[in-house]
Amino acid sequence: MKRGREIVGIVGKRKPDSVCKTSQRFDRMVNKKNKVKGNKDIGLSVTSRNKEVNLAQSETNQAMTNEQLIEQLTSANPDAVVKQGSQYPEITVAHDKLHAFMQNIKSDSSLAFDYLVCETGVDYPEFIQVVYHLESTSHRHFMVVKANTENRETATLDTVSDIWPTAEFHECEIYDLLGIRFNNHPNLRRYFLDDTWGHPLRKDFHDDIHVVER
Amino acid sequence: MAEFSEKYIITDEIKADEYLVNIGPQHPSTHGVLRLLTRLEGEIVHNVEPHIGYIHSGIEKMTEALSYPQIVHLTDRMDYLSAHMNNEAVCLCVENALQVEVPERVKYIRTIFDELQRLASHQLWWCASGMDLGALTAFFYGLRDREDILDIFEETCGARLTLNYSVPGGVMFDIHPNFQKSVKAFITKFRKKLPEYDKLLTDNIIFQNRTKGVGVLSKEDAIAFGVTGPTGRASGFSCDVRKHHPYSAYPYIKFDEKLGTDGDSFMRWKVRMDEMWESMNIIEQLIDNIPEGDFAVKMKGVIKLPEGEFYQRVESARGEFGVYIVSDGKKNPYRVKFRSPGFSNLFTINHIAKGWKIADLVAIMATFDLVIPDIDR
Repeated sequence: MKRGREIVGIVGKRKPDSVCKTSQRFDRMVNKKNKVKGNKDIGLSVTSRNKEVNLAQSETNQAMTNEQLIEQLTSANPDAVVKQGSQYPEITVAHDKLHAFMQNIKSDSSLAFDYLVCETGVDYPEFIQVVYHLESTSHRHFMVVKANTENRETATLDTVSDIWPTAEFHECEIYDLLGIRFNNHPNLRRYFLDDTWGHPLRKDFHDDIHVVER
Repeated sequence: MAEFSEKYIITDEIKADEYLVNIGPQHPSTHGVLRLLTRLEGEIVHNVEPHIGYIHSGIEKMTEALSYPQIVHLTDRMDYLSAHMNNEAVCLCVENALQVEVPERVKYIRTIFDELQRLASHQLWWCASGMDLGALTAFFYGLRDREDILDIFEETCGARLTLNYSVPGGVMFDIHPNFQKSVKAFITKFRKKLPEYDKLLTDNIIFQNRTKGVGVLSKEDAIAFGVTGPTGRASGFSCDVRKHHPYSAYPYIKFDEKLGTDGDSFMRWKVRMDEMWESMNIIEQLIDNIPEGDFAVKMKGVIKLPEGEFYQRVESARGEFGVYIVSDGKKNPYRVKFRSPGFSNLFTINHIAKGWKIADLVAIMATFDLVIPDIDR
């Protein structure tokens, strides 16, 4: 048991609260009787907590309409292309300004886009486009950001994985299937295919055996 | 094949007392072909690196050669336990793009199927994760009750797992005359069975010791890593698409979004157990009120989407499932992206499993409810 605690301490680069929980758990294992007594009220407080959380959210819930969102984005980024897409506001950002722009829309408290829903790429004849679907969990507004690579041959973009950690994995997938290299990415590797494959979601990818073209 | 190269195996320098263990690709607790490259010191996990792609089937590439009604049939091969939600997502996306309003009857039927599918998925999750934690009895209980739902599916649409019941414009056939009766009979029965589930595992002290406080995911991390579904809600991240972006018949009904605060394995477990009760409440609100009318609207023989981009999100049993269609006006899409909940959820595992024992890693995996084809697509 002692050995176990020591190791947990070494690994303790983790957050202090989870380390604390680990040691609490050891204590619980030892004092099983106490555990049985405390058992019932831990049982199910999910629903009661539900109301508090919902209340807290409704107070901060000041969603911007799409028009307000477009207006604010246009005034803040005069050189970017902002328009109303089929459902959501869409903004196309120049590839060299992408990282600064993304950092700004996450830290700006009136926008607060803290949830990267989806990141993907689309291959067009002159460039490859990376599409970011973003939502704000406090304001509940939704927006689409697009960034085009300079060309298709040496397709590169800045990573946003330091802003939203989930982007790290979506970017690996994009690199695998579309061949966009992300600058400053911590661990860019191919997730699905090995090096003998090209990048299948590119339109000029041909494979007589595996891909049926119509 | 590419030659064996070390770069796939070792991503970081290994310290003196550490060693590497592959969990998977063929391992019961990974629920499919997933390889977790774990760096251990004794029993303590220092690093987990998921390696995926063993059943990558290139569905996104395939869709570029298919018409929209055909794409629907591919989607239930991804997350086969949320088959109907995936079908519905594509159908809703196509209908929104064409601005087709489906009959009320279709909305009700789809929503009931959604919730039945969610129940079936949570039942299988319950029994499989019980088995992961060493409780084999759970597996038989769960599969026994899931059978009733699959029978209802079979009665109405002929399929048990990959339903293909939704089509753009409605559903493929009208519901079976016995549908309402058998759904009500199932709910009456399952309301009595579900407390057994709690008795067997949730209240079990061994089970609680293995899950409480294990693998804590904070709310901030859940949002940053894009963790959705019951897994994200257990951390207090309010991410229920049914609540925030209601579709089909969800705007008409009252239900609670189950939120936890602890974000540990036990809370993830609890949120799913509570969602089963909530799903039954939703079905009961709808089942007697299915409006009369057509079960589909007439669509054109060849469906062509207008030029543009369309995104549709639905709540699958695992989290937020998204369909992103880029259309150039032809009968095939230019590009389709499926945002699968499992992909985002899986990659938090390194973040929360560090420092726990290898048996705790299994408990964390069990409460994440991963479906591998959903991740690999």
